Amino acid sequence: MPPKAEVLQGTLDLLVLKTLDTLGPMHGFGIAQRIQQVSQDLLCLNQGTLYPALLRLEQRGWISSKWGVSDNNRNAKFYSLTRRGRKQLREEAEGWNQMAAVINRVLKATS
Amino acid sequence: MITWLLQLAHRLRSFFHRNQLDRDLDAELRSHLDMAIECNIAQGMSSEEARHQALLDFGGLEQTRESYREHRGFPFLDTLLQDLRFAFRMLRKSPGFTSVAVLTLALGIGANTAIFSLTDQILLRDLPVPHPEQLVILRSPGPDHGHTWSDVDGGAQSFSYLMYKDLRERSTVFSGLLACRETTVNVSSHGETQRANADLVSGNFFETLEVQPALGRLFMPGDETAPGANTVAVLSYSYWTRQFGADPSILNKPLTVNGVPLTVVGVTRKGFYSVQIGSTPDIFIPVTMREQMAPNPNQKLEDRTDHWLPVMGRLKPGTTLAQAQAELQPIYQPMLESDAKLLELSGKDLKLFISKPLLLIGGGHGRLVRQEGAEKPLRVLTTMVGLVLLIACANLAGLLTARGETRQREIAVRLAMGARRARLIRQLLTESLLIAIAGGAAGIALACWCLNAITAAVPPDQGMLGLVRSPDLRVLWFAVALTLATAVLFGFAPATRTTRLNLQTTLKDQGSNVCAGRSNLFLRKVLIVSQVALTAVLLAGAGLFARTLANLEHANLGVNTSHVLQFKVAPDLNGSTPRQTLAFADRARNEIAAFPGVRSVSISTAAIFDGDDYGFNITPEGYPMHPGDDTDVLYDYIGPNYFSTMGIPLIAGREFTEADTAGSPKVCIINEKLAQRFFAGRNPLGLHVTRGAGNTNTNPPMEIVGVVANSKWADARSDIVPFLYMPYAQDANLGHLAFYVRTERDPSPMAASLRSLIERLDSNLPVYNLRTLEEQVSNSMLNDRLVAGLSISIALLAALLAALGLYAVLAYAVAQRTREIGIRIAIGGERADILRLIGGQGVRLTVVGGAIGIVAALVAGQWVASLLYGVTAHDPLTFVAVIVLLAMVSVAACYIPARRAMRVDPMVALRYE
Repeated sequence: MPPKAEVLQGTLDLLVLKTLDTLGPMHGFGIAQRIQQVSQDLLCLNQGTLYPALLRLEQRGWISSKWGVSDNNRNAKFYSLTRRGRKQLREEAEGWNQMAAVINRVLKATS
Repeated sequence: MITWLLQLAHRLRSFFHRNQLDRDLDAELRSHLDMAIECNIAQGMSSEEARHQALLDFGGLEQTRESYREHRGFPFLDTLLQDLRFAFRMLRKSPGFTSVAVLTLALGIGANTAIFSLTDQILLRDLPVPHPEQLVILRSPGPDHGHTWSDVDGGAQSFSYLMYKDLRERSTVFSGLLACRETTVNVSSHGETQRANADLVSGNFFETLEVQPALGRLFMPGDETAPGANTVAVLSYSYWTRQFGADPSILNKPLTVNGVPLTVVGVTRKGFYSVQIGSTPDIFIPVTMREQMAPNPNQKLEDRTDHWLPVMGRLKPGTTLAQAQAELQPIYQPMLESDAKLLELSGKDLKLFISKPLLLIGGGHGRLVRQEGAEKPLRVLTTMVGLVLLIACANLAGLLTARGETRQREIAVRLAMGARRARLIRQLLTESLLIAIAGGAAGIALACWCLNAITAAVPPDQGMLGLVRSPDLRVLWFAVALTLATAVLFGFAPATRTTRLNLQTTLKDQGSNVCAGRSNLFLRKVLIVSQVALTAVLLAGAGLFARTLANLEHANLGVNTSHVLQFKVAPDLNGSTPRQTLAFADRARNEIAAFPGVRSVSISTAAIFDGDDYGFNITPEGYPMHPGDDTDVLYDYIGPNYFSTMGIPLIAGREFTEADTAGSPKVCIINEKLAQRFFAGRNPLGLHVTRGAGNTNTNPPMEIVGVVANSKWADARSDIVPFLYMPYAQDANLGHLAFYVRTERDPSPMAASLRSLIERLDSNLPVYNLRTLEEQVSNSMLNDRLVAGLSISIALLAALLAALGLYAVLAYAVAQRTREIGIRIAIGGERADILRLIGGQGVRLTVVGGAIGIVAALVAGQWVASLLYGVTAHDPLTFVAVIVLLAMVSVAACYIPARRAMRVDPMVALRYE
């Protein structure tokens, strides 16, 4: 099993937004699970850090939250993407792709 | 932008609902963990294991909560509130410390605020008119010829009325050029006549200053047409409310001023006074009414050789001083040249006269006449109270350091538990701030009280009428800024010091110290030394001012001031001719002389110790004149028995008598100084003096009939100058009179009968300045008395604070070293050694501080030298007194702690802790 990578600074927001975009409304635990699953457990996500990030996104108006009931009948706070959040996701994803492409190019050029 | 706003709104909501949100977060986290545990169990873990794994995956519940809170709401405010609550609790737990600290600050801030309020009103504040920065004062320094009115500033800054008008018409740089001259008038209303302050102003005065009326209208250029033609008046707001009960029906009613009925056309708005700080005119009258309002047969409105009008302009927006000056000079030059022709100047005089520049000086601060008398004392007092505040801060810094030391264990524990140092410093600074705010509030109250006390100490007719007694908003801001600055000043060093700890040693050692760390005390010793040094400076200053006042009070005035009553009248203001005034003077003199209890009575035209100053140059008979010789003398017109009434010894010749009349040969009496200056080695009796350059056609020679001893004239400080006395009967312009009455017994009870006598002789003649000569002399020392009184209070305050500081340090040292002292005594140490140990420390600190302070005071003394009288800035007596006082203060401060140290019981001390 390869060593787990830390979540890169500033990318947690993007991961959360993308997750909510894919899953629709979801609670914190679900988001954490999903990120870990999709990354095939390669990302080391300190689940606790998720909550300040969710607060930050909510403050910026990119996501909204509502208490609801989970699949197995538990009270949980559900987060969902807002219209502004969807726009933000597009922009950030684009930015990320560009950056990744650039870095890739640079790495190939030197090797 | 929107994101930012949303964030702010969210934070605001969070701030006010933080309890509910805390519960919310807890619920969310709990649900997260529950789900994780459930999930783990589903994967086949035991419930114990599942819980453990869930917590592990989550990674720190408490950190999450903390970081969540930091993002939510306003963590700064949250901690501030928390800090305030904590600080408040801490301060309440030690009321002794808190009250000393608050009191110390209150004294410091209060004194500073009170003095700043005075400085602000007298020196700093701009005139209460729009755009005061556009106002400029016109001055033309250089030699004067003709009749010149100059103010205390000494520079000729007045212009003839016609020159003012010419400048107004020909210059283009001003949006308005105004003229304004103060004078005093008699106002009759409700059947009685009273004196009032008037400003003779140009028609554009109010327009230029952009002042609005509270009632009616103010002057317009049309109110300044021809001499004697503009019989209108504007009242000041305060005079209108004070004298007429703010009755609007005063409008368009006649008001008799100097016997001339003037129509009141308006009242100025509240808060406007004049263009001169400290001057509070009651009535404004057009300048064209000069001859009626300030009658003098020799002074005509349209006389180009009479320079009497101060002029002020408002520059057009965007015009600089330099531009304006450049434009004015070519306009001014020809005016000087034509004036020089009128004055018949020639040669060097002509050259100097026509090369006078026309200068523009910023006038927004309202100092047409500079407040020179007040400026230096105020600066000195400001510095002194500033030093007191520094002492107070040093004192508080010392107290806080001591407090910090006793709290080291608490702080060490908090640091060990992971509190950040910045956070602790903030907590400690919050405490300082709380103390500062309490001290500041008490200080403002104290300042109000001080201001009242200061202004109450000033007699109402001494030119402080414009002073406001309660601090205004500007002053309050000053106090607030001062409060915050002091909080940082005294709080920062102790806070950083207290939190700079070696955790291990502190936690381990605290409580088992035998001897307090010496470095801990170092900062406090530095603070004590600086307090003592500053106190020494202040004590020295106070001592010098006190000596100055004592010297002034005991100065040989050359006049016997006891048992003399004085008063003044101005018949000329009521239109009395010199001939009528002369008759009045003789009659009043004779009637007063017949009063029982009156020893003698006399009259002069200029009053002694009253700021009246009349001078001219003379041509003494047989005196070889050198070019550039200063032949200026002061003069006064006096009545018979003047010298015997004033107690000025006659050295040779005779006094004036009833035989010296308008028609008799012209005579004069000179003082010794004049005799020495111009008649050295000769007997002056029988020789002659001619007024002016020696033209005996216009000024007949006067025979010297007497020589009198020198006496002071303007005030006790002034030097003896050559003085010439002439009989008032021979004064062609006899206008106002000062009466001097020497009595057998206490003169005060006679005041009422003198007043009623004058009223019987002329019911329209207001009597003013009715007081004993002693009071008059004392009034002339007002500045010195205020400076001495205030500086002594300030210095005593400083000494008290320094003593408190010294006491606190020593008391603390004794408490810290109780164990050490106990051991010393237990192993046979002498009590005297203990006394030396503790007392010696206090003495050393005082000696070092005192030495530094005395050197500083010797240097600083030069700065106040101009305010001193009869003492040098390094007066040995003063400095010895300072040293003695410091020694006494130091002994008093050391006494209690030293005694406590000597009485330490070794058994108790060793069991202690």
